[in-house]
Amino acid sequence: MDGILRAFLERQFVEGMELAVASDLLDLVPIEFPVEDGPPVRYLAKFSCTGLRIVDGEVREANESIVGITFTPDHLVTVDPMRVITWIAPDDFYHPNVGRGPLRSHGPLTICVGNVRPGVSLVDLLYQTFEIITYQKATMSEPDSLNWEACQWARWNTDRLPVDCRPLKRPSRPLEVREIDLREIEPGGAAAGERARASQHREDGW
Amino acid sequence: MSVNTMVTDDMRSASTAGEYNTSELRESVQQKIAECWTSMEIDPSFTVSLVGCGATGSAAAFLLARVESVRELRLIDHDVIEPHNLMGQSMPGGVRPGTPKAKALATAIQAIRPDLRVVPIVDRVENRPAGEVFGATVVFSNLDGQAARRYTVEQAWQFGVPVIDCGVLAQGRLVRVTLYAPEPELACVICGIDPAVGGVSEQTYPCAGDEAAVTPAPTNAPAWLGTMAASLQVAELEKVVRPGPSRLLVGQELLMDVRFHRQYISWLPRNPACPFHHHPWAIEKLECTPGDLSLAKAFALTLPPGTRTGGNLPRWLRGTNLSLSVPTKQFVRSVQCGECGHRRSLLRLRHRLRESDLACPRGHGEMLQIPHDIVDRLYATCLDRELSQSLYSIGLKGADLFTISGPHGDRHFLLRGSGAGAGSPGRQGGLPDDEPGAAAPVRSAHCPQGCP
Repeated sequence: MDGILRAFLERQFVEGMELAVASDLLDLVPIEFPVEDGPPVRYLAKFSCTGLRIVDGEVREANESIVGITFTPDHLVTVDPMRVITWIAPDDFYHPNVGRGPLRSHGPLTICVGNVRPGVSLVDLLYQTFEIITYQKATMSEPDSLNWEACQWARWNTDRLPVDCRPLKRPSRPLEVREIDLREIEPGGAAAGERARASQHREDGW
Repeated sequence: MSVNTMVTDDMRSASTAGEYNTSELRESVQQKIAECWTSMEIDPSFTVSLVGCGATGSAAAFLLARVESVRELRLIDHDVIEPHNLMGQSMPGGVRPGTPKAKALATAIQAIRPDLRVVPIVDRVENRPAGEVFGATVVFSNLDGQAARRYTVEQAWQFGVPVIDCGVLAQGRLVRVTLYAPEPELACVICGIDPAVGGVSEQTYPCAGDEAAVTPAPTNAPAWLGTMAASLQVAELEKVVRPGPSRLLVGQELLMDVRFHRQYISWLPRNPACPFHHHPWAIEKLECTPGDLSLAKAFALTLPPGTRTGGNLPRWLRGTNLSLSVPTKQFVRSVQCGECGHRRSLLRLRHRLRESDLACPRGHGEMLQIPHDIVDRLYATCLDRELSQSLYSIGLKGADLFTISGPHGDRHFLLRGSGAGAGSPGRQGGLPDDEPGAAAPVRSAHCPQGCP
């Protein structure tokens, strides 16, 4: 494996796992290691965010989606959109950018995240996939979509979109914990504070 | 006509240290020229592979036919002659539209030089066995697509074969010739390409339809401009054939502005961050055909002599981390019918899928490749009965190149075929490339099973 490609893949592995650790909605599993002790080139990404499925003609929520991500040997020069992100499950996912193409009732689902430039990072791919699944990004024009019915549904139901507003990465708000004395805030000084605490303890059953 | 030769600002940027030193730069380039000259195994009778038979390629083909040192000429182009080609390209007269360009040129050239072996190949260069195209002395790249040009230069580089590339810009009446010599310190075709721009221009999308092919826009250049570019190409070739006082375009690019009578020579800087490895491969030539070599035996080629496999090579291989790949190609592991959903396991090269592979056994429709089951390499641990399959059955042909990766690193093997072997004249007759059970003996390196 070329040194430049290897360095790129190692960086993607580190950044991808960091994102997975910092996310409540993403599980990332590397599945292919072409070189022993080397970085992975393929991943499985499971998103626990809300998407949509079509079951017996009815649009329902999908709580889990799985995609595969592949870094080809010439990923830094050219990208094969058919292979860089591959749809795995569920098989009845409902989205204008996920489908089998027109006039096909069976066959593998493909996902189109739009323009994918050479050397795109794993984190970028994960974010683009997340935006597709949660309907934060959806094609509204049938000729550009893979599922014409879903495209029409999305146009008629824009008020319901996106279907999941949570961010992929857990917001980091550092909590400052400080122990306070109730006497500082209770009116009546220390005695009032003692009586308030005693009353609270009785209510709590202590 | 006066010709102004200028040293461009590219020379200043060529120094990786960021400092401009003309004398040092020129000395290193001259040294590189000398090294390239001596490193090339100049064969008085050699083979030229001409990739692309369009505006420049058609002219180059006729010019190459008149170079006495050329003994074999391989013409590769998938396209057919269209009416507008007859005026814009150097196609022979009396040819009907619809005739493959490579065949039309081959017939005309054979009439000029009956002793010249001309091999027309009507196919895309990416689909041909690598040894068939790049097992030559020199490769002429006359392509108008960036992806095909990149593929041609990179594959030739890996074979250690120099590439003389040319192009024209009709609007500006510009002609460009570049010589890519396979040396680690020299620039390749993508050293100067911005992937963010070059990759997008020829990218396909799933919503564009199955296997949507990107066809580069035609150059629409006048025939004389293509002939001018071809002449400069052949002129560079002659410098290789007949060493003498001249200037070889190693690591440089010649740009001729015909409109204003100017000529520019630019140094192509080696990009240290170029994703291409820049090292020619050490390719081991096998004397066996793909029909004679099973996957297990192919893996076994890399085992040290005397390796004990306990008498069960496939089982032993499944405990290793060996993998087989065909450079730039993928394998399809399963397909699914688009009408009934029937799914079938498969193991074949993606660009060599047959009609039978894509026909639904239930007679419904076309079987589609499952994107997640398209893989770049086959791991021995993931193969079971497939290990006993021959390379021919998974789509490899004669003169194909495959790589076995493992703890030893990568080892590259070239299957026997009519085009295999750099610099060798084409073999007359012989066996078909992809026919199993060839009569020729099979010799493999270091096979513990003792391949005959």
